[in-house]
Amino acid sequence: MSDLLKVSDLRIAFHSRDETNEVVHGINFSVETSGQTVAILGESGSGKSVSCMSLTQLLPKPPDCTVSGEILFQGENVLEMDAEAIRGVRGKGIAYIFQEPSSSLNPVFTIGYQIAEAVRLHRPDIENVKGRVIELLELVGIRDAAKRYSAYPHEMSGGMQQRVMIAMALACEPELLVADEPTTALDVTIQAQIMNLLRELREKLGMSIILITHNFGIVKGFADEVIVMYRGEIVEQGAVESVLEDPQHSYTKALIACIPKLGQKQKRLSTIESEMAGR
Amino acid sequence: MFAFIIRRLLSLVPLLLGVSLLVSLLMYLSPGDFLTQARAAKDIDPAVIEQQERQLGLVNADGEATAWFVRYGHWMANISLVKYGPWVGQPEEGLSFGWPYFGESWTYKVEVFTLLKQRVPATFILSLTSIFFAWCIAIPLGVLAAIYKDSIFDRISALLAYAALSIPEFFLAILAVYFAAITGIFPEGGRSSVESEFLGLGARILDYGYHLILPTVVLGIGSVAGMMRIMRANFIDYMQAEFATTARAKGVAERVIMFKHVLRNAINPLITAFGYSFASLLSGALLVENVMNYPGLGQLIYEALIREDQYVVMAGVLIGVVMLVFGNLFSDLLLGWMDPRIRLEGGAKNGASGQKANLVWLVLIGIIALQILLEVFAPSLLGMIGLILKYIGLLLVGLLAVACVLLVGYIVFTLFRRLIGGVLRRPMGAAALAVLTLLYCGALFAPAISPYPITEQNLVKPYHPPTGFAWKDGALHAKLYQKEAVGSPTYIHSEDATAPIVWFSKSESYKLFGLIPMERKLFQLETEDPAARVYLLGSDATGRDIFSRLLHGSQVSLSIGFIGISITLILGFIVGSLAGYYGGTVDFVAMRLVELLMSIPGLYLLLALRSAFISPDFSPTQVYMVIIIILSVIGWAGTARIIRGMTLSIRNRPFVVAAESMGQCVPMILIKHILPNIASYLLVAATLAIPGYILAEAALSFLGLGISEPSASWGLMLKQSQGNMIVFFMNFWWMLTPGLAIFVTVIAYNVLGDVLRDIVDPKMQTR
Repeated sequence: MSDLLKVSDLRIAFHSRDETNEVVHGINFSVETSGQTVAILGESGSGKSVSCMSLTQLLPKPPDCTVSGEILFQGENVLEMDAEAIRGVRGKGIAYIFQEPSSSLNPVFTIGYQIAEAVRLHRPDIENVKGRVIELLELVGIRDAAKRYSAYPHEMSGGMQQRVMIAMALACEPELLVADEPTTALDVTIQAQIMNLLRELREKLGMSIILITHNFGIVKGFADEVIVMYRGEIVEQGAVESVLEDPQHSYTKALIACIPKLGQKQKRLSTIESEMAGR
Repeated sequence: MFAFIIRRLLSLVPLLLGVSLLVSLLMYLSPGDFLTQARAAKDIDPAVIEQQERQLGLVNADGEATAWFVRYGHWMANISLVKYGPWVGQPEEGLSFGWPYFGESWTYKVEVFTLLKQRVPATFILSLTSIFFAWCIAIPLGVLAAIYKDSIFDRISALLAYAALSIPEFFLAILAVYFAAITGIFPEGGRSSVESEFLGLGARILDYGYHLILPTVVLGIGSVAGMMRIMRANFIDYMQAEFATTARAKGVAERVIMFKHVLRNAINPLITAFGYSFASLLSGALLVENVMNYPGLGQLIYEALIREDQYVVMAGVLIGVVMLVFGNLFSDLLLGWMDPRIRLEGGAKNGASGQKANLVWLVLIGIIALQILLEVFAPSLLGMIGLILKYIGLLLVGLLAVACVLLVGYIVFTLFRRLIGGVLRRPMGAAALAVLTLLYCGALFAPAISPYPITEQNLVKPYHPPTGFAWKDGALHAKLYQKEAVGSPTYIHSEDATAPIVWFSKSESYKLFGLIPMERKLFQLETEDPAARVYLLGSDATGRDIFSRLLHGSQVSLSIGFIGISITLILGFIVGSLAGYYGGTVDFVAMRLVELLMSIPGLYLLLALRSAFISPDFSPTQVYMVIIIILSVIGWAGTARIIRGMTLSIRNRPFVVAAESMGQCVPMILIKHILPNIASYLLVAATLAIPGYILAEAALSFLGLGISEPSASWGLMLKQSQGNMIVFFMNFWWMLTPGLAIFVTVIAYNVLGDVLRDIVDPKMQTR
């Protein structure tokens, strides 16, 4: 299979008034076409979110932030594209679902309008935009989609808002969906619903997914490959089963040990520090 | 939504009742009445005056003075739709239906309603056009400044915003008239041309529009700066919001993100501010209308207040309040329409607090009713109560003064010492501090620096231009000037007519700081000619030295802000921290009081209070004291609200609870635990509020209601150029230097305040 996305030697640095802070130190990974799912794991601040934001130049412009290396999407280097070209990739090539649905939706527009905006931008061939939006809302499992079209974000629950975000991301049938901690802000039952929905949609639409998470629990059974990031570097990379069953790097081991297991009695919840120190 | 509008309009009724009662009480308290002037005139027959008194309802049929509340009652009876015959001066008894009658203007001898019908639309249109103007300029500028943040454009617009924020409205109006007089592009004032009556409809409207341009710009510019800063700060916040990233990730063009997604969110605070900007515009309109001779509501009320034309004042202030409430209502509705998250209903909670609000009004009306009863049945008791209240008031003022000195000392020693390093490290802060130090030194050493006493006239040299200097015989010489022709205010310098300047020479004795006797002045002119003067900044209409007056005037203008803000802070802290600490009923009563004070357009309240409490026989020092007290009484409301909010958030912090659990008493908790936590914010707020006092005093003196001749204050000095066309046509620019002085002081305070805020709280940074 060919590579849909190939990232090599990606370095990201933020510049403040008098210091430079490199947060990603030259990482390499790739995502294949047709439904491969890559999970990127790591704690907060490990550089997983910024790496994915850089895929479509969503980070602040220089001089605040510089991105170097090479990001090949369908064989073209994203980092060298001009503003017009990158807009063609955003949404249509690579779409995003963000962590906090309540603040990621614009509070003063209806959800229908916000989805329709994406449809109009990338699918000018569709004439019945509203019909398409309703179709998308139904696809992500929102009941009474026609009625919900003119609802405002604050009138929906968190889970519903995340479904709207997913519908918006799917609006132009992207090749690659980047889900940046899609379930962190939601409670556990809704988490499972959203993951199931993503799994379903992946099979139906045949897109590839990058799943960013710090939760090993949702990786298993969802992703094909897993990348573990720690302080801006990839410390482990491989198929999900092999990494989970036989972690090589001490950080991965620590991370796995931190998952609270049902039925196991522990005095304290393990933390990364205690696990890392013990080895 | 409909219910919301109805409820808001209903809440207007008690407000109007309260405000009209208050205004009529203040009018009664102010010394003299409409006929005072006529009585003083020798050539008016006392019989005529008596007849007038009866006609105006100042005395009843038996020749006794009518009590103010009786007149108020008559006024109310005339306004109500259902009228009872004897109360409105009709012979037959029984109820009848009639339109509200607002009384008659004593000055113009026409119905108040007719007057208002002419004046209100003028002010209303002026306010609307200037809001529109401000929005049209402020929104694009703010957005551009946010998008091109830190660019040269951003910096220039920030600089202009500072300037616009610091320039007093009436000074700007004078400048505009000056500009119009010199260039002739715009009319110098008025609402229409002389020939407008003979023009067709279209031409007449154009004529009105043409006369509106300058007042609109003058009135609008002040709000442009504030709005632009709010807009820029908001826009920058929302540019980094997550929904902007979402839109970007969808592939939406940057232009669309900025002008659709971000703008719609960032504009909301401006809409909320609409109601308030209406209030400040009403105050500003008074000054601008006065200077530009625009026949609006502000000018009407001002003139009526001066002449004690009671019914005009009451109706005018009521219209002002109504306009204010409608402005707020309109901005609420607009916000509800723009922002889907806002619900206008909010029924149950509002209902409960509404009942409480009525309670407060009942208490207020009850107090006034008690006063009325006392006046009717026991006038002597009332006098005694008045006396007691006066002494309690004096005691309170004395205590306040001591407390203020303590607080200022506390702030200067503990906070400023900590922050001064940070201020000096920033070039802007250091510059502002240097300017302020220079100004205050000038004020302190005014008697030593100024070459002439402020009252010394030199009638042969009115409107003398600033003196030039020459270097001759190894010493500095001042050039001497002669009038071009007798009676002409144009001066020419005749060759080698100079006089040497002597440094530290003896002159008449004076007291430095009011204590140290001295008789040497910094510089004097050595000459035989008694009329020869050195005029650093020219002379005024009676040949007084503007430089000397400027220095002495700065003593008033610079100290008023400092003392005023100290009293405000103390009052605001006491009320605000108690309200925040105790909550419940204390909080409720305090906040309603604050709202009442804030619901009357500031300058009108100021004028009404000032005419109630200052009588013509006051000495300049007394006037100065009363002005400070009035300014502080009006100003504490806003401070109290902020302090209450801060106290509320600190009140539940563990260290406060810990202090409570140790049995610490409330005043100590407030002073030791809450005050230090909000002190730095207070310092910033105080620095940013001082300009308001300086501007208010200047405005008051400018209107001729503050410091009066022959004392000097910056606003008073500017008054000389108001309406004095000779100043404009002959280009006597030096007459406007007091305006420049106000401008420099205010801008220095604003810059210093912003720098302090950046140091105290980097998050609040809005350049």
